[in-house]
Amino acid sequence: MDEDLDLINRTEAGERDAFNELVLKYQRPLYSLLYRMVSNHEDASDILQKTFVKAFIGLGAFERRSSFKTWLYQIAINLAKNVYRDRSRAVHIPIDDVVIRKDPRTLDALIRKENRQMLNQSLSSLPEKQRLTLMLRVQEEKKFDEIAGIMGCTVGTAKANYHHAVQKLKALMGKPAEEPVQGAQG
Amino acid sequence: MTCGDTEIKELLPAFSEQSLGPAEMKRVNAHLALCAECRDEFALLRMLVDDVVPDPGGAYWSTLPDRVFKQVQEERSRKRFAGFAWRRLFPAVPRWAWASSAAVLVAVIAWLSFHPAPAVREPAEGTDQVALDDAMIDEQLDVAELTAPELTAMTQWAENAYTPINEAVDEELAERTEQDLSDELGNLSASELDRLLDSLKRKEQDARDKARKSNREKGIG
Repeated sequence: MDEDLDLINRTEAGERDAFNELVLKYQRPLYSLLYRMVSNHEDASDILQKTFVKAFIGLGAFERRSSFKTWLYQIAINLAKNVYRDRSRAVHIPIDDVVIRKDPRTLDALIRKENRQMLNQSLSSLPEKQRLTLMLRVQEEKKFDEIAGIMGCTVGTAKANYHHAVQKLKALMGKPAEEPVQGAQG
Repeated sequence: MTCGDTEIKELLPAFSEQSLGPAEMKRVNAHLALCAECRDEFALLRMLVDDVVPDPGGAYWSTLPDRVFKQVQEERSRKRFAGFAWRRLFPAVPRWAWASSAAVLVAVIAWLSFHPAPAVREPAEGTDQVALDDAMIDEQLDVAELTAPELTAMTQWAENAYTPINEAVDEELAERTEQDLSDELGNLSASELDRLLDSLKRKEQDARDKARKSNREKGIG
């Protein structure tokens, strides 16, 4: 947080290195979130660039009360929402092309692929806030207080959105194939 | 069966990311061994975590700061130019001045739509003077809003209309002053004569003031 403020002050003072450092620091996590929201590189890349441009143009309006990271995520999510809504309306997942081969490794890969497609389809059908909360919590590894800041809600609401998202996803996916618990231990 | 262990459920994302401490990892592992519902949830979260975003490549990441910087510069210069061009045309005009001007403009348009300007007849053949419509003479006019030809025509009309009246008044006054008032004056006391003299002086002064004012107005016209 303090490091970000220092970089922001230096950026405002015209230090190009500080500007670069801020972009380099947040480009990957923001891209990851945006890609998951819009499901393609072109839109994710375009929105990512717009997010940074909007943030740097409006840096004077940034109130230092919240973190720069939260502010950036808010801008990115707001910009991506329209594209994401269009994409989620047009989601089409062909599952007829699943060809079962005799090779068990191929079969396993196809099942995984099918599961992934089902997962994406199910995610798309979740209400926007629940989907975003789930993505931020599980895929972007954000804590609930961070999610609350980004989504502009209370921690309790963020937790509730997360809980509802998991329950709905479970219902939509049926019972996902269990993975060995030991896998989590690395 | 529904698992009510919200603490474990809240730990599951971190567990699937393997970011918990050893004690918490052990605790969650032990719970998962017994709870089918949480195992399902964990499997779902693992699927989400494993849904990796394709990496656009090193060249993309290394050039992004430059691309963003360039676009920021372009945006800034575009905004600066737009503001500069506007300011150059109308330097230092505050917002309230624009608002006031708009309000005045609306008021003038509204007034003109209810109070049309007096119709002006084309100059008569052989003369370059502009004449006012007689019907318009009776209307109340704002002198400040008349054009130069209209003003000239209005002044001419006023002179034509009031000259005979002035002449008649002058004649009457001249006749009165020619009357012999010596008998009446002879009957007045000294104090009455003084008051009469003062009164005449005041009237003379008023007449002079009126004449001066009238000349001044004609001069302006």
